[in-house]
Amino acid sequence: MSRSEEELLKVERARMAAAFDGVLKEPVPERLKALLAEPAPAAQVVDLGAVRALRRGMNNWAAWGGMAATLVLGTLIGTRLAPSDGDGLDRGRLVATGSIAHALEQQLASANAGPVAVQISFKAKDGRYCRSFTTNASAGLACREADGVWALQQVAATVPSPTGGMRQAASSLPPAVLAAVDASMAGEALNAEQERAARDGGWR
Amino acid sequence: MPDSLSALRQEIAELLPRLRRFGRTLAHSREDADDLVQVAVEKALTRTDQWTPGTRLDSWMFRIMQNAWIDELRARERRGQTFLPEEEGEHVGEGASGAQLDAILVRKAVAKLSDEHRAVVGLVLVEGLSYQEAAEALDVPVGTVTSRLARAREALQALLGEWP
Repeated sequence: MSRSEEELLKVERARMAAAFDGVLKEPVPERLKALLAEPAPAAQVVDLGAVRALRRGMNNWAAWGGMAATLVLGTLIGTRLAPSDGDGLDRGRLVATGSIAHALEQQLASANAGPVAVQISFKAKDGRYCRSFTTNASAGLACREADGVWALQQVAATVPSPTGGMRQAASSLPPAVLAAVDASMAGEALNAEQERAARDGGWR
Repeated sequence: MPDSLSALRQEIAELLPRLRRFGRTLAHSREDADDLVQVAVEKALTRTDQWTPGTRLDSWMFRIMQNAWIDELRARERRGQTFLPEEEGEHVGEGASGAQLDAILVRKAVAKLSDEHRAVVGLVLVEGLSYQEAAEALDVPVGTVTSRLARAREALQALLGEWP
């Protein structure tokens, strides 16, 4: 490299540095710091990067799986319409029951072993805790209401895996569910520790 | 070797600001850039055995990021996603100084470069790697880095006028 070439490079580097150095002074997001915190995050903690990466490719699909699909599919996976108790608030609300409700209430993402797997847990913009789940044939997002039920926000059918194993990875959530997660998440997904604390606190 | 793993973890954590900066040169949005850092860190942690102590950790991480970004671009292509650089969410207010304005113009110009050109610009001009180090990070011959950087600089000149 000739002398003048070297000087030119130096000037270019200085100009580039000025253009991109702002990020160096920004606080590093917690989700990135958490990846490298001790102890190592549990293997089954949600891969939010994969979720986001998938979700970004799915904007065109976001409209897919609207309320009609939710209602139809919701009934397929063992949910029921909550009886209206007359105050109007429950009307039309789909709530999780049975093993799904149990998993949503009790199961940690790191302990997926039963018929239902739970992936992402997060606090929604409206303050409710929400969790994504999968069964052998469906996937969905449910949020816990003040009265203790898990209201289904989005449900989609999934193709049962050939091995009969559960689809546990957040990255395998259907687009409609990912879109619902994305639309309602207030900040970041809960890490394993926060998830446990939220569960132990009754999701309040 | 929990101790060395722990030390490596710590070293990667210290690199996070620079990884984020490299991400900003590669990706089209802040969120994409941080997602890319996250994916790269996750990948790095699953293959710490491939890291050779004594070599540059930053180059190794940049290489993982660059490969992850190429994977992401290919995946988007497969999904048929048209992908245009988004407008930076920055407003040039009345108070913007000449330096701030210049920084915005430079970032916009870099965003218009091809993916290959952005990678060499990010490594050599922003991160300050030597041509040799950049070649290793990109897994290409040094001559390729030299020629890509030359073309990238020409493109920047065309976009920015007087350059530097």
